[in-house]
Amino acid sequence: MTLADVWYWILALLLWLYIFTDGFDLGVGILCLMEKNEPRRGVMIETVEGVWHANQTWLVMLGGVLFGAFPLVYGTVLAALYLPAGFLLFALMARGMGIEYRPETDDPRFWTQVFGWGSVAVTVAHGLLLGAILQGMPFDGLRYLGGPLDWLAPFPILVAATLLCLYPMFAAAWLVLKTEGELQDAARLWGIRFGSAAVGCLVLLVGYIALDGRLGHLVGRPGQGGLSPLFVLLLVMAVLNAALYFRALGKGWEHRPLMYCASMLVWIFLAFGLNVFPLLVPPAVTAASAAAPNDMLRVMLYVVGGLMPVVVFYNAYQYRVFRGKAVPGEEA
Amino acid sequence: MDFLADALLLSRVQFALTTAFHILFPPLTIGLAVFLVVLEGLWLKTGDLVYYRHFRFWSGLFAINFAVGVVSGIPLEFQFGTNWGPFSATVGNFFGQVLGFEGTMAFMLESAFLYIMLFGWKRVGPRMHFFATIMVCFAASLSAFWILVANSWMQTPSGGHIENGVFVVTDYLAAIFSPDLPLAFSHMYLACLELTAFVVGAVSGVYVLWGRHTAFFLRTFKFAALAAVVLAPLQALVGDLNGQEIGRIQPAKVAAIESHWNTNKPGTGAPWHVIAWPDPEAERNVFAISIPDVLSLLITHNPTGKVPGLKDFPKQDRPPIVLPFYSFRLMVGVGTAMVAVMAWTILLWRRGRLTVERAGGNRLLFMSWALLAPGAYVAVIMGWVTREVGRQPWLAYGLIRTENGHSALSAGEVGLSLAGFCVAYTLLFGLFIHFMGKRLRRGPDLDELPPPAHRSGPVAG
Repeated sequence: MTLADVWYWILALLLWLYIFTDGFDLGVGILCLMEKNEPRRGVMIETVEGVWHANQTWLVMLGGVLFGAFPLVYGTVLAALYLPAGFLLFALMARGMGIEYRPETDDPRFWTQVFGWGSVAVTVAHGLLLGAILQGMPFDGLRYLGGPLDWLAPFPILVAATLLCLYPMFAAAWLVLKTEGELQDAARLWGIRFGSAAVGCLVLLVGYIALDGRLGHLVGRPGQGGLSPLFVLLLVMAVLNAALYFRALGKGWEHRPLMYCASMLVWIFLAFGLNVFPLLVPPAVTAASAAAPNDMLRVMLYVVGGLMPVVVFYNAYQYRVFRGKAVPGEEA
Repeated sequence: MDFLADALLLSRVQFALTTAFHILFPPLTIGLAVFLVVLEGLWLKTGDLVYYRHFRFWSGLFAINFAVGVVSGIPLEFQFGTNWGPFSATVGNFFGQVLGFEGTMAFMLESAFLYIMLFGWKRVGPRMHFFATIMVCFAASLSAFWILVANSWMQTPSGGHIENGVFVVTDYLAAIFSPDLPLAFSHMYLACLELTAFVVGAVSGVYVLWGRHTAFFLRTFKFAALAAVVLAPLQALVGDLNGQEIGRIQPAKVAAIESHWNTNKPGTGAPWHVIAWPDPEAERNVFAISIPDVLSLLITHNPTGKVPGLKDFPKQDRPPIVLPFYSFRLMVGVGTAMVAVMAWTILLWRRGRLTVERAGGNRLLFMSWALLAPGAYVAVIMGWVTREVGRQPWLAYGLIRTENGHSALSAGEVGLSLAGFCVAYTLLFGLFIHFMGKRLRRGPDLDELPPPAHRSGPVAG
């Protein structure tokens, strides 16, 4: 395994951390639009008030690591995806303002809406960006050969739809853990609805890939239709974890639904990741071709790799400090 | 409206606008974090509830300020990729790595401990809470360090060379500690502390003027005044050293800042223009009010020291002149006013005018502080304008020209995002002022008691 490969998988880990953690707090934003009762929305938002910020910071780390380890990708892909990338930044701003300013006002309803729709917008931007990269971007060296609106295609839109179901599914599990009573019951119901929709979207997405031969690089059959056995196996594992999630919700367990969300996302990552590797940006940009010089990757590995456990540790500590059910109105 | 069709210019305007807006917030975050550590340390040592209540009051303002800083900061990191792609692709393996270090080491640390500091009073004990505050402060300062590492490297790229279109690092430490870094970081860090001293002093002073909680806020006002005693003159000194250093490492920048065209002949001094208007076509100043020999004194500390003029540099390597010339003078003007107001404050203090009974009468003094708080922000922005416009026409000085670092974007795309930023940042700023004002009108809670676990009296010291 080369250093570029190591960084490929570190990047995947950071993306997983970002999608899982920011996923559930974005999902809470989306679920706020489902809940009509404002004080109850307040409790939902309070469960993520202390953690959304650190969760979002995985994106900043992801950006920094991509910039440092794969400068050629950072300098080309973001420019080629100028509009959806800009949309993501504005959406992040709206979401952040919604959650930060909500407690400062006497009438929080407006800011709840900003937080909720901001979360929807961030999720859509995630889907469009991920979808656009996964479906493939043609480059000639550093020059982008595609059009400025290539991301506006069925596949990225399907990815966005999947995330719009997946994030609330994670959020439901988080709310089951952090709330009690009627709100917790509502969260279980959301979990079943959005969880089913997420599985449905995932199947639809995979079906689309299997039928559209141009996306074969995602499922182990480059240039042709269908699915490779390995991909099918990993996908079945992901769906199995979704089934375990439903069972855990039904049994009234509080910790396990969230754990199954995490493991389900691991299987999804493996299903696509193992097939796409070593491509960083299909169809031609590989980890090795876009990586920084080896010396730089090594320095970065010592520093970032050495710090990662510390970072994970104090993030875990922070979750521990604020463990237990959210207490409405707890400030100090 | 030719410039609307120029994607490069629009990208430059966008980066200038977004960074200038962003830099309004981190200095206060960095300075207030230091202030909060001091307040909490004093509270733990003395058990005096005034310190605890001050901590709660200022940390509330800190939270609002921090939020806007984060929201406005994220677009900066990503703009390197979206708008300055070729630059990122060329230097990313070092430059991007530095930004990655900032995120990993500093920003994450700050995010994780911030919430414990703000809302963890009931959840952790006094020592752990103090530790969280120290971590927030340490992380904020560390962030400033890494960002200045990246920026200083753009001013004086060192530690490697460009090979096949990629920057190859040969000496890692030399790249991190580029020649510009020590003084640039000192100057900016002091600016953060000085700005905070004047904001804390201004807010406290206005409460005293309003006659609200006079004794409570006189304490922080005096604190700010004492900080200014150290910071304001020290900043002037560091600024002067910085000027000399830039004369050595970026002489074209100095020539532009001073609208200085002709190198002074040996044995004569270079004049300093108080005000001037340059004519770049004719390579002269249309008019100038000058003082003989002063520029040589400022840059070389010798009345006949040699200061290279703009004509010594090829036309295509000269930075713009008007902007750095006037932004520099504005910054220095505010800095000087800060020293003066600091001295005046100490004078009045020594004459016994800052007692609870008499403080309310110093209307003019507190009003000058209230003016210098926004003045400090102006000074910070003007300092950065001087530094960055003076760096032109280079992205990385002498290494990559600005025009060669720009992504192949259409003017329409950049125009759209620029318009979006204008709207979004106007809204952000309006909301910031609105919510900050709301907090300030509400004022501190002087009956608030710490949670039981924190009430056991002094635990440190």
